[in-house]
Amino acid sequence: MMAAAGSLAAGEKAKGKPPPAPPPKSAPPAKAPPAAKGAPVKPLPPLKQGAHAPLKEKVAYVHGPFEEGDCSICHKNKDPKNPGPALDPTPELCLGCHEEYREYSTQRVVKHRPTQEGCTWCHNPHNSKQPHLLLEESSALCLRCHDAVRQVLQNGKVKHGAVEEGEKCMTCHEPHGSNIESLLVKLPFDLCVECHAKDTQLDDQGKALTNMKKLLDDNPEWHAPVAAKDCSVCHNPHASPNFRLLTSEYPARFYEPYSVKTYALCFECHNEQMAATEETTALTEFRDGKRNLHHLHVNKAERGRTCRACHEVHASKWPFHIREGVPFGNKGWILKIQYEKTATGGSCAKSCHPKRVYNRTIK
Amino acid sequence: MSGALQTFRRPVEAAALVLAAGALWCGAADGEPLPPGTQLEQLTLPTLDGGKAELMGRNAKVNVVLFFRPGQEFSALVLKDLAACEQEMAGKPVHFAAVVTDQYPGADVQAAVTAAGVKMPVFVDGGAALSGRYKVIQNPAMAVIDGKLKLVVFVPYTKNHAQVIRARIRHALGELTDAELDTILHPPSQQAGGLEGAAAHRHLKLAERLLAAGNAEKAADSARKALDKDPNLADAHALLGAALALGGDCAGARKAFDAALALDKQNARALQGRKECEGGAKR
Repeated sequence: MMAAAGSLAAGEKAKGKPPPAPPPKSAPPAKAPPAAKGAPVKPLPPLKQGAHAPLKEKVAYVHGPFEEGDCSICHKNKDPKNPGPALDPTPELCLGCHEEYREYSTQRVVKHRPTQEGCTWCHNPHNSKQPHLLLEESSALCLRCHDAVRQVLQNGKVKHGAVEEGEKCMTCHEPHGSNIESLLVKLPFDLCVECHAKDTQLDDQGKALTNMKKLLDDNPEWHAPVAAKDCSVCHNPHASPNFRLLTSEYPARFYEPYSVKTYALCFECHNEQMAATEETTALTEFRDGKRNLHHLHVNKAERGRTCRACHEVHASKWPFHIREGVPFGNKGWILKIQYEKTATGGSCAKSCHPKRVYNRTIK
Repeated sequence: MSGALQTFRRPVEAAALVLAAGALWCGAADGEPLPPGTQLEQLTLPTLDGGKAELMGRNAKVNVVLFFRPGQEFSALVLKDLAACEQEMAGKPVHFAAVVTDQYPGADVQAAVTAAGVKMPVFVDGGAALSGRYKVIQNPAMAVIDGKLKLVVFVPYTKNHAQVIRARIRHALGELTDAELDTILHPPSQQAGGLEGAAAHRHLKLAERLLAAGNAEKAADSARKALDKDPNLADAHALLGAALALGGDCAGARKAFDAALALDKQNARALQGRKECEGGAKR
C-alpha cells in the first residue's frame, strides 16, 4: 500500500538525471498547520525548511513526474530553475493522480492528520533515499510525532520484534487511514495470530514463543480478551517493562505472595475484590456457598497460587480455561486437574490436594 | 448528590431488589456469560445522586448498560467514549445507563463520571448483586438490550470498542443490516488493494498532464506504462492515440483509438481522435 505512495517511482531506481530545482514554494510551511477537528491539540512538529527540496545526493527513489523533468506537471512553470508555486495545495494536487488515497482521508473512520493536512508531511514529492519517497526512515518518521510510543520504546525492557523488523510500524498500521482503531491494518487479534503462527519463533531471551494459532485452534475455551479478539488488552504491541510485553505486572511463577500490585494485569479487568473478599455470593462463581475459593487459593501471604496455577491464560480445553494439569516436582510430572463442571459448582481431581467439590447453593 | 458521595459500604436497597429478582434471568448456565436472547426485566435501583430510577428506558428501542469501575483505565476510556456516543445518539430511542458496584468511594465514582462527561444515570450496584446476575466478571462490559428487554449481546472492552458499540446500537435500531454489522465487526484488511490498477491509473494521469503540457513523446511513454499495468484500460489506449496523433503518427494513433473503442464504444477521446485522423486533420 505504501508502495503506491511512492507512485511511479516505486521500485524504479534513479537514473541520475534529476533536473535541479530550488525548494518548492508550495512545500508545507515550517510551522505546523492548525489541528484538524477532533484531533489532538498538539500541533504536528515543524518540518525542516526545504524538507521537500529535491535531494542533490544519490537517491534511490524518484517521483515519476519529477523524473520527467517537466516541472509544470505539478508547478506553475516548466523551468526547473524557477518552477514557481504548485498548481494546487497538497493533498489535492497529489490526489489528482493518487486518487485511490482519497477514500483513506474521507471515508475511513480513523483518520491520520498528516494524510488530511498534506501528503508532504511524510513524503518528498521529488525524490528520496527512502522507499515510498518518505522524508526519513519510516519508524523515525512516525516517532517524530508519536512521542508516547517513542517513550514506551525507550523505556521498554522488552521490545516487540515487529517494531524493529520488516516494514516496522507499517507491519501493523496503515498510515493513510483505517476503519480500525489506531490505524491498524487488521483487528489486533488477526494481526497477532497471523505472525504468531509458527513453532520456531523465539523471544529476546531465546525462549520459544507459543504458536498461538495452533494453541487457539486446539483449545476451544478462550479467555475473554482472546474471545473478544484483542490481544492488546494484555500485551503492549510496542514494548513493555514486563515480560511477554504484558501491559502490567503479572506473576511469572506458580506461587507468589498475594498483593493487588502483583496481579495488576488481571485486575485491569477483573474486580480485585474477587480475590480480596472471603465471602461473596456475587463476585465469583468459584465458591462453596458463600466461601470464596478464589480468595482461599490466591490470597496468601507466602504461597498464594497465582492465576496461572489453575488457568491457562489464553485458552484450554476445560471450562473457564482451566489448565489440564499442574507441574509437580522438578521431573516434569504433570498432575491432571480433571476439572468437572456441574450445574451449581464443580470439582477438581486429586492433584494439588485430594479431590474437592464445591457447590454454590449450599448454605 | 452529597449523600451519595459517601462510601457506598452501607447496605443498599439494590442488593435486595436484585436478589428478589433472582428468577428474572433464565437460560444462563452458571459461570458463563448471559447468552444473547436472555429475557431481562425492568429494575428500580439506587442512583449515584441518592435517588432511584429504572435501569432500562421506558420508551427505548435499545438500552446500553455499562458496568464500570472508577480508577480503571479501560473503564475511563469507555465512559469517555459513551459520553460522545450519548451525544451522537441524541434524539434516537437509545437509553444509556452506567452501573458501578458499591465497593468504591462515591467521590471516586463521581470523579470518574465527571471526568468522562457522561449524562446517563449512574446506578449503584449493592453487593455487586446486579453484576453477579449479569455474570459480569470483567470491567468494563456493555450490555446491549433491546426494547423488549432481551439481551442482544455483551460487548467487552477491546481496542475497537467505540466502533463495535456504535455498530451494535445501530444494528439493534435497524439502521445497519447484518452484513454491514459483520463488516464492522470483522473488517477486511485496511491496506490498499488492487495496486496494479492504481498504478495504471497513475501512469494514465501523468500521461494526461504531459499531453496537456504538449509533451507528446513522454505522454505516449506514460500511456504505454499504464497499458503495461492494465491492457484493458480504454482511456490509456485513447490517450496513447492522442499523444501519437499530436506527434504526427496518425496510423499508430488510429490503431490505439481502435483499441480504445474495442474496449469502450463510447470513449469520447477515441471517437474524437479517430474522426480527426479520418478527416485528415492529422497526417
